[in-house]
Amino acid sequence: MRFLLMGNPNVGKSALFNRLTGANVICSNYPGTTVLYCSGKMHYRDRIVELIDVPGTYSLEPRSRAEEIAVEMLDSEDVIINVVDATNLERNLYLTLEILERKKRVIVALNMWDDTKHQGIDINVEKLEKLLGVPVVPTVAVTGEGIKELVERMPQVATTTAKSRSEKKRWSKIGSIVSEVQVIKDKKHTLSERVIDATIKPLTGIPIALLVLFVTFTIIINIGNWTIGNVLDPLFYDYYGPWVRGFVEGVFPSGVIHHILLGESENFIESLGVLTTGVYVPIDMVLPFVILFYFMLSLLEDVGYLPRLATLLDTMMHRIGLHGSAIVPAILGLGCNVPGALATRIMETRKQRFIAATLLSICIPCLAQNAVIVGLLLKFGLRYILIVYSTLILLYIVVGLLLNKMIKGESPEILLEIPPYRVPNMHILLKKTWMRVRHFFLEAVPYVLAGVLFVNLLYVFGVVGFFGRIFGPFLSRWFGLPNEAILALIVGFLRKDVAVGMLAPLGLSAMQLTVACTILAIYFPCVATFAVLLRELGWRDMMKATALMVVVTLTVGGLMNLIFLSS
Amino acid sequence: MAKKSNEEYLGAIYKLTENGGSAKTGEIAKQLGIKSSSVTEMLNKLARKGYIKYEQYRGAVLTQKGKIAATKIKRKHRLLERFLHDVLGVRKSRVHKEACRLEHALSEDATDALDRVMDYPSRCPDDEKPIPQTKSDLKKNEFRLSNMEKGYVGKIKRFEGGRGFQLNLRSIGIREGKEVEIIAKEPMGGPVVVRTGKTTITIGRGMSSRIIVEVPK
Repeated sequence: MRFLLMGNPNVGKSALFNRLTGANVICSNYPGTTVLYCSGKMHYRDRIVELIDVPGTYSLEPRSRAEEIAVEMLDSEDVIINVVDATNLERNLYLTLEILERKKRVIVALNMWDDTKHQGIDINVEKLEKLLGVPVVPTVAVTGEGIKELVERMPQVATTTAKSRSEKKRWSKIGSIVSEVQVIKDKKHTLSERVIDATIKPLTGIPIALLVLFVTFTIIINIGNWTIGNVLDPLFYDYYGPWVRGFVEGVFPSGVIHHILLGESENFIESLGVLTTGVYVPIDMVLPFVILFYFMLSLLEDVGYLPRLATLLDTMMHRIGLHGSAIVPAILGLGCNVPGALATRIMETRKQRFIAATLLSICIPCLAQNAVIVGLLLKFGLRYILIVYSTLILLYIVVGLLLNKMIKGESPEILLEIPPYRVPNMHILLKKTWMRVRHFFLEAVPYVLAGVLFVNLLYVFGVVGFFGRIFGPFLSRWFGLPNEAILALIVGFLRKDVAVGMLAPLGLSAMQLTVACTILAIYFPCVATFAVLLRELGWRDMMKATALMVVVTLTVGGLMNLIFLSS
Repeated sequence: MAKKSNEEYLGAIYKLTENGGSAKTGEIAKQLGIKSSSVTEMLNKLARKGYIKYEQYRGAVLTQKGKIAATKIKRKHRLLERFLHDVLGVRKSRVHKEACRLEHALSEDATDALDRVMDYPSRCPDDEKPIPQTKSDLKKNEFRLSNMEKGYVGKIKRFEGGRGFQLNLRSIGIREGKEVEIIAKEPMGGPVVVRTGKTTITIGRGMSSRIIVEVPK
């Protein structure tokens, strides 16, 4: 028996999900698609049942892939916990009626109950329950209020005899329900509402957005660097390094396996050993940033800031065939391109998904890459880092404009609800951060280890020399980089962070490193992202995207060589 | 020569009277490529049905009803021209003929979808005539949401768009009879932010131009 949690976006559905389920939450793809949904275990009577957090939807006539999935899931299950925003009863009841008309067994969680009191909304729950014909339980998911009663009343889930209505009849039915059960005492806008609007008006909103982004990244970079310098590096160099070397040398004093496990250098970035670089890169260089990034992102998300950012950036995004909501895959991609690629599902049309996914894989370096780029280039000075990122931002716009012109299809406009600001709940915030960090590591660590192992095997079997001889002369002249750097590009297919690490021991000039880092960022997504994109876009579109990547890489690499290296 | 339909007559009269004045029998005949004698009969029929006002020597003028019907057909025609030209790559000299044949088969919903796909083009490709919005005649105190200034409050009257467009707006909370306040307008043709009740919503500029709002005096 499975329960579905359904409701409009921004009604506290995920918070309720977190309250109802324990720690064993699994997020996976809906079969055959890349739409992500989470499922967890919940107590029901004396049993453990599965609860699924369905993507938010306003109606059962879907607008995007994610909403399509929501409807498909509804068809296959019949016990629904319908989460309704008590402060916006009228609109939320539309979905409720649609679900009831499909003869599902339903219980309604009247969430955000506490907010109704501040807002002067008075709802007669008993009457609502009678009119709907299914149990209605007031809840406050963030604090846990009413959750116990909701669970207790779940066995009373009921079906109604409601027949399928037309859209017009549904609204008039809702009108009569609302007028009977709800009284609104005070409809005036509060002062805080006025102040809050400042973040969405262009004149004040844009400076605030810049400030928010600046503060966010300052926090991530500074705390991250401090942790690495003062905690993790000493741990690695003083304890882990000597220990792992002693251990391996005790078992394999020399030879191929010794080489594969430890590499050649004492330096953790350069050695390329499975147990040295393979462990150091993900744990020391990347982990602190991953945790901080996902914490800050979840914070901005839970506070309700992202839809405002989407509104402010919509004008620009519309020019490149997307709309404001496309910042979500872009920002998620800065963490890891895999969830970023998955998030392109929120876009409505094939054209938009293609543009969002292609831009993501070309212009958005993931956190692992960002960490290593900053780690490598910072010692030469900030301007090199600025060159890398300005190039990427410029590319995002230029490639976007081009794609918008080239790709046929529809680019619908933004239609997005701006939820009120909310004080986030620390427990839920941390759980969310943890889920994301865990996902990142399940994706990342195996690939880092595989990448390092792969590089070592390539060396051992002489494949490196082979590729170097074939592609090296042309690419190295074109990009202005030494032959060995081309190998890093090959490894970059597997892991970009490892590849950037491989550049470290080559003794490149600061400018050569800058060019190499930029090329690495744009030329191909890592294997994991590629697999997801392939599933999302299909072979044909993925071939187009890949061809575009090759062209863009050669163009940009050649230009950077001309501008920065040839003189 | 096949018999010309009502729609074609209305389209021709619309074109001839677009810049004021009335459409003479001879002009209509020339426009449609038929004899003047058959035009007179048809004009009498259209006048009986209430689409036009027709006097033998002054020519024909569209009534309100006729204008709405003609606007619909012209919109279809010109959008089709844009589509044939921009998307299918049909030559400019041929788009008019092709569009004439297709326009009668296109539903309102498909027309709206076409408008959206083409990102709401403003003019047709061959003679740069404006593409009309259907039901574009606003009453005295009615505004398009996109034309309202920040701080204005009004009541939503109706939508100009297909079923899907209307359903999306209604299900997110933008419904007829609801009061909306303009919270912000993003610059350079960016979206409009409105508040209705406790809900704040960002709506693209193109969409918001198809939402008609009544502003109390």
